[in-house]
Amino acid sequence: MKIFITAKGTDLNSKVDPRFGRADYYVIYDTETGEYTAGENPHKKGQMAVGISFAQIAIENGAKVAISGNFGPNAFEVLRAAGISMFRAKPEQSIKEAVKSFMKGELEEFKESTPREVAEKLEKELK
Amino acid sequence: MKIAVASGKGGTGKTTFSVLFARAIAPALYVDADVEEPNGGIFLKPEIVHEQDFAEPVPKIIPEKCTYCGECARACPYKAIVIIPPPAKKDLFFPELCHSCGVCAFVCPEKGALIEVPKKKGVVRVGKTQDLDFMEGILNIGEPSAVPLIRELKRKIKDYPGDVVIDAPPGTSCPVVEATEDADFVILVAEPTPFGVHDLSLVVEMIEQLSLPHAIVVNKAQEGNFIVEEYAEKKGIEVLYRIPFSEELARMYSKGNLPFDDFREGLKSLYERIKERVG
Amino acid sequence: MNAKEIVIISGKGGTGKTTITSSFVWLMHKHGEKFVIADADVDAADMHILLEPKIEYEEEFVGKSVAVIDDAECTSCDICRQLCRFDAIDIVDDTYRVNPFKCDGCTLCAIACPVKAIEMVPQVVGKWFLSSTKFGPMVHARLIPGAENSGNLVTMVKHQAHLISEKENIPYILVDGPPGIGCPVTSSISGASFVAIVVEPSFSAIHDMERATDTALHFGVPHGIIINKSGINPENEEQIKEFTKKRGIPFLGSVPFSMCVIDALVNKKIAASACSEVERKIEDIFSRILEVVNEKP
Repeated sequence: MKIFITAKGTDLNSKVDPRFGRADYYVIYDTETGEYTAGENPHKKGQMAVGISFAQIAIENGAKVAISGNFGPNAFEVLRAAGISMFRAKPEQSIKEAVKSFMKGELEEFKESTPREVAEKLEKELK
Repeated sequence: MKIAVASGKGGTGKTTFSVLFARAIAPALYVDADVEEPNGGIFLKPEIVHEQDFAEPVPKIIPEKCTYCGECARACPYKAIVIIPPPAKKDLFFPELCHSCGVCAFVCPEKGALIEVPKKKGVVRVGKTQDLDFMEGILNIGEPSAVPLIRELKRKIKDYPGDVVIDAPPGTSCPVVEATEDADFVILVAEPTPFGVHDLSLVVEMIEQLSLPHAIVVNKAQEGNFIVEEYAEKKGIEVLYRIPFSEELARMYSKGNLPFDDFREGLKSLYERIKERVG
Repeated sequence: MNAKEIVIISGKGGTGKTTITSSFVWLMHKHGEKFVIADADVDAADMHILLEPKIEYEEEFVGKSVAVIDDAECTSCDICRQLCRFDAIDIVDDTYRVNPFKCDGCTLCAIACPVKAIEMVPQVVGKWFLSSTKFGPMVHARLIPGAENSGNLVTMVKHQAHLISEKENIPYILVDGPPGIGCPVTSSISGASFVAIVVEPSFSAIHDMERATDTALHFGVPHGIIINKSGINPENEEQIKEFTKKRGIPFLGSVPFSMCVIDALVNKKIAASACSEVERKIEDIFSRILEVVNEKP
């Protein structure tokens, strides 16, 4: 299966980039073959909705899992709609370490509602 | 005559002045075009007689007809549509990014797969207080742009038979341009502080680009403080009125009241001077 | 490491937001805290008047593209003008012209033009600056008056501030946000660790504050209220405090209205540095914010 990871560099020793939409690079790691490809994030300096465009790269590459530090509300909606599970890397992990942790089931799954949903729930409770 | 009132930043007294001025020259129409934060109604306390939804078209995908080709998503200049291709076949729409431009509907190759449906983005309220007509636009939170609603307000006031006072949004960006560009005259409200003059210079730059006749009103003026007048002289712009700083006025303002009668005569003659200049 | 972003907004202008943010800057510096200053109030950037930044780098900011019609190719078919939803296409002296102020950059005319006579041309809409101040590094920007895209330039200012914070390991970013609600404020709130909403005790400010709070809530960002110019209207202040209690929004504190603050403003001095009461109140507020901000990972 393919894992999409936000990265600060283009090899497996690079650190995971904790931001999603404005990450510097991305790495796509194939757990079956152990091979990987990396690319620069073309949307990094985009004006808006970068999470949306960046998430689509994960979809286009057939990833089933995404690993980053945090997923903004737009990226979250897109990845969730595409059925891609999201996981939080541990702080300061390298790509290699993050993948290992993931395979061992040590990473926290990002299942939280988006801030928008949190806000809507709060609003309903307050009314 | 359509007179727009603008200021370089919020809090200079643009609404205070607009409301005092509109009341002084009534019968007239006061339009609150500061659709993100309309405040004029708080002081004028109009009786609202009519409320109308403001809506704009947004895309709606018909799943049975859609082939999930993704043309709409690729063409959308604001990334408001996401199409996840087969086998997943999902479509996502981000309303806060949509500008209702119509590109998606235009490029969709499958007839009837993407239609446009109206989405409420705000409201226009119309009312009256004594002999002053009142109109305001209120933009829903999260809407990316105030401009379409301001354009709608302008459409509604276009054929108004009397004078119109347009209370423009603060600042110098698009919404302000939209609110002021068709005015016959623009009054710039400024406060006599270094900030006030700096911000005034930005809005002057914008107004000059639009080639609109304009003049300055100083609000919260202090005795012996003429930094706005000094700037105005350098730029060759007239200062037509000074509202002195007054704690009493500040206190009244904070209670949602204004001393309309105190300013009636002064502002009426200001109106006459503007009328002369517009010709 | 992700820097903590503290954003200060107000529902409208004139509540004294910049006065408060600059006082925060002064106080944080006095406490030896390291932070990057981001002036995101790009329509009317006032912080630089008080902080006197020395510009070390500047870059033009290219905003949205606008449509431009090639006269030579145009056949006057009128399709573009009929399709444009922004009333941006006029006929001037028998020539079709796009009004760059009204053009939204949506590309519909360019797509629809049967002879491909329309091109999208990127516009320079402003400049952003990397500067140094005696309090620390500062990012600020200027929009060309009349230009749009404050939201995007705000995002750029914050992005540059984050780059600096990462490079130099600076834990805090203090953002002076734009007034009002809508695109620029949304951009300033997105990604924030905390949003402080400055209000003044006037009837309209409460109404404005509700809208600002709703915006912060919409994005699920922890937020709190600061009452500035306290003392003008004790009744309204009580109302504001009740509102915060009802909504469960933390009330951070009040800063008094005084001639001292006005004099400081007129003399281009930071309020907290010139008025001891202001310094004390801001100190309280600032420690509460840091408490909340440092709670979460």
